[in-house]
Amino acid sequence: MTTTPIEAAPPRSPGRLALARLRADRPAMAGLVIVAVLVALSALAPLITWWTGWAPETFDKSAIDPDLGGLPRGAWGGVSAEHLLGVEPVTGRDLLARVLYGGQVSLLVALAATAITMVTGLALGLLAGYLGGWVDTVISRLIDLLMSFPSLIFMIAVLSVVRDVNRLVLLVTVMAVFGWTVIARIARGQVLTLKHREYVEAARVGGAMTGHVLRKEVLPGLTAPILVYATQSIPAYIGAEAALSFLGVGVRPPTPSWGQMINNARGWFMTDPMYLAVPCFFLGLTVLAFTLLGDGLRDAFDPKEEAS
Amino acid sequence: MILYTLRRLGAMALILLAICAITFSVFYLLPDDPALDACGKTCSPERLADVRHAMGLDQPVVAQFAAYVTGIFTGRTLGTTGLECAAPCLGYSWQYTTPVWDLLLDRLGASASLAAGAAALWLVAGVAMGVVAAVRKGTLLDRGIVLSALTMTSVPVYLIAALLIYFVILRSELLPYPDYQPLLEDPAAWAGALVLPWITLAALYAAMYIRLTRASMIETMAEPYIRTARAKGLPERTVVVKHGLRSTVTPILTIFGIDLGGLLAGAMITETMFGLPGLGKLTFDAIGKSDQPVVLGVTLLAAFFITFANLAVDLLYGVIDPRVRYT
Amino acid sequence: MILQVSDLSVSFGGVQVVDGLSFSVERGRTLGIVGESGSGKSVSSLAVMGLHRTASVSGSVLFDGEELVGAPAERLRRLRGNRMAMIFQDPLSSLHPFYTVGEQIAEAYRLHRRTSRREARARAVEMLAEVGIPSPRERAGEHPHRFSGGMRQRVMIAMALACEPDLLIADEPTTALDVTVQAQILELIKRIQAERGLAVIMITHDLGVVARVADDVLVMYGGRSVEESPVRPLFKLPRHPYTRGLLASIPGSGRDAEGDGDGGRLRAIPGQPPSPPAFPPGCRFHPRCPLATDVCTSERPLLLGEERRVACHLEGATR
Repeated sequence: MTTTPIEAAPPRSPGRLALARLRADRPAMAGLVIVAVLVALSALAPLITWWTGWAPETFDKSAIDPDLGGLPRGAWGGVSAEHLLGVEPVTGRDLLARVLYGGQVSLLVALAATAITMVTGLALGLLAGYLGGWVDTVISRLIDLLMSFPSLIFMIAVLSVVRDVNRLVLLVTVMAVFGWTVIARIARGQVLTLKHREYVEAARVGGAMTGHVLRKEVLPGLTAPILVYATQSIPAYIGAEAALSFLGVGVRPPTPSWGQMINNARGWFMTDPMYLAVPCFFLGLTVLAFTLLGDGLRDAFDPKEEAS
Repeated sequence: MILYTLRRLGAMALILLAICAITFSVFYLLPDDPALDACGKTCSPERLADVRHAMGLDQPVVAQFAAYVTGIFTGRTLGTTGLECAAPCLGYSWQYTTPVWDLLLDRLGASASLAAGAAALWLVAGVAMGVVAAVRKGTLLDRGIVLSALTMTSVPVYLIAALLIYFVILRSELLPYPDYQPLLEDPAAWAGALVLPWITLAALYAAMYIRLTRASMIETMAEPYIRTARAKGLPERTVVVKHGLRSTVTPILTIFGIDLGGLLAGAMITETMFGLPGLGKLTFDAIGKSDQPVVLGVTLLAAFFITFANLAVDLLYGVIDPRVRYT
Repeated sequence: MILQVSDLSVSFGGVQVVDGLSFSVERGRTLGIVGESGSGKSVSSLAVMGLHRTASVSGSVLFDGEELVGAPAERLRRLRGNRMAMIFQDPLSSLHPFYTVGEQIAEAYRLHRRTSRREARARAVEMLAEVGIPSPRERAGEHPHRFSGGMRQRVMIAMALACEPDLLIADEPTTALDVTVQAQILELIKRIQAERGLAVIMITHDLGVVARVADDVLVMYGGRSVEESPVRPLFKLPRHPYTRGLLASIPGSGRDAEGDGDGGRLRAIPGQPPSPPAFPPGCRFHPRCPLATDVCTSERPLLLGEERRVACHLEGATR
């Protein structure tokens, strides 16, 4: 009752243990399922639009009422067997097709930005931790600097003045520039902790290569924080992409994105609330699903003992 | 402590200078020519050169940057236009034909009002609900709070704003359409224009703070010193508030300071949705008009708030947590 | 008799952790409760204090003639820190990091004695002096992290004794301390007990601590009492195989369980102590007992005897 808990089962690897805990976490599994469905829907967008017969850029003048300023015909923003989620006012473009293609953009941007920030952050953090000295100083100061940057304003400024560049690449780059700092700090901290631990010293004295130490000692310790942080970054990037597109500096028409759809719908929410609700629903659901999954991963790797 | 503060202030100045340099060169290197915008659609090459010269854009970038930085401290005359710009000079907005600093000061009121009100709201509501959920962990009440916090973090801010505008202003006409006036001039209009933005922003952050507080409080309440407090025979209320909450709010105040610092010029979406004349709206409009001196000024001011909030929080931490020593 | 516990059982969510424990303590006496982790010793003491929030507690706890099991929470709260007090294993994490030690000592005194802030403050300084902290007036204004481990435990003791309780429960008070400091703390507890006629329950896994301070000993295994005895006879002639095993595992004790001649060598009891959900049937010690027979695996041994009580099927058979 005082100190050491008693091992009931034979020890398992922390990864397996975490996986088992995650499986038992119902909200997290629900999050995973939703994420899987959303990713599948976005990936299959061309197939689905081929089946419904409405591409995201196809106008449907028959679905809107020019006498009412271009409002969709019918209740609920023009929901019908033809247009499952209704249509855009004025143009009559199919909302289902647009929101699915928009999802492609949102998810792609978020995943790409997450992947880049993880790799960059890991590399720079490990470098700073291992080499120390001036390399560490430079990287650490850079982190301090970036963390003091009003990143949203700066991103908007850059995005608004750069022209004739692939918007998606630019968006991902700009977000990644500010995103790698947290993971770099975690990686650097992990290296520094391990650096001072005896067994790493021993392994180095024993002639083991730095690469070996990295693979065997450092990276396993970083798996959990990276996985958790990555899962939490994805909804943050989806939100950031939406914010930037909403402010008119993100993805440019005709490419649909959720933020841009929300921006377009802003002027219509009194007369056609469905137009605003559809992208908001998808955006919210995605953020919710990733949050559930992230919470579950965090708890699975770091179980806070539910003490009695 | 004093030495520490001075060193931090020095580091802060360096960071601000670096941010200034980076932002400045980004604008300089990018192919967007403010002189072209200022000159207008029908612009002859000669006229353009004149405008460039008048705006000081024909100088080398280093000279322009040096002029800009010294202007912050001493004020300066802009290019050859003869326009005086008093210290602290952050340049001149060609769109509004006003010094940037005056514009910032003019808009800061609305942003600060928005941030302060929303922050007070979310801090109180978030911490209170987080504590209640933690203390009643596992009950229906806890589940309810956790679920609503989760929902609130997921609902896009655009939707919250739109729903509030639709139901409160348009549908039930509980509030007039927002017409922001400074607090001292017309308190009623000030509050009326801010209530909904406060709620919007606070809802977003409160959800986050509920989750943070709950997790932190659950951890604290499992600490041995909480058991000690109970063993002393303290009433549960005292145990929760005096012993539990005291440890819980410390890390939360850190995050709060940083959030607040970031929010002063960062509530761009909320300000845009409600048409509040704050720094966010100013930036949004300036970007649309390529009014780069304004964007640069806002970036610097925002960076100042962020770095200042960081410093303030670190210093405050030493007051709250006696274990902290400044080195 | 200040404290009389009979047939105390504690369970968490249907898992019984303490099973039918009975003991009593008199003023001026010390009861040592010994056991490995998971034996239920801490759980029992927390149950006496009424500090379990989710456990179901049954049996009887008579404190100065008053029944505490099932008593209103408010009544228990008024006794805690006032007439019965407790100190814990890790004095650093058991003290609040953000309040000065003076504030923390004064807090309980002010609450239970309804004194002014000043009086409570003076009492805190007085208590710090009593537990042997040099320049107590200055140190009362310092935070726990500025104290050494031993000094922190002195602070805990000062805090526990500020209201002059009748009963002090010390839960492994020396486990987290250096060996030399351990002895000082035990001497302090002994001294104060003698001065005040305090009843003490000393919970420990360390028979050395028991030998030093206890008058009576209760050995716990798997949530049950296996042997109860005055301290001298227990060390002289342990009767339960588990107690013998514990004694044999003390370095330099010169004993071993079977007396097969390699005395003086450290002998740990083979195997691990069981955890509550997996308590074995019959005698809970039987899987680790070198002398276990068939009956041990199926029938619970009763605690029998007068001055010394032992729960073992082999009692009488082996000697």
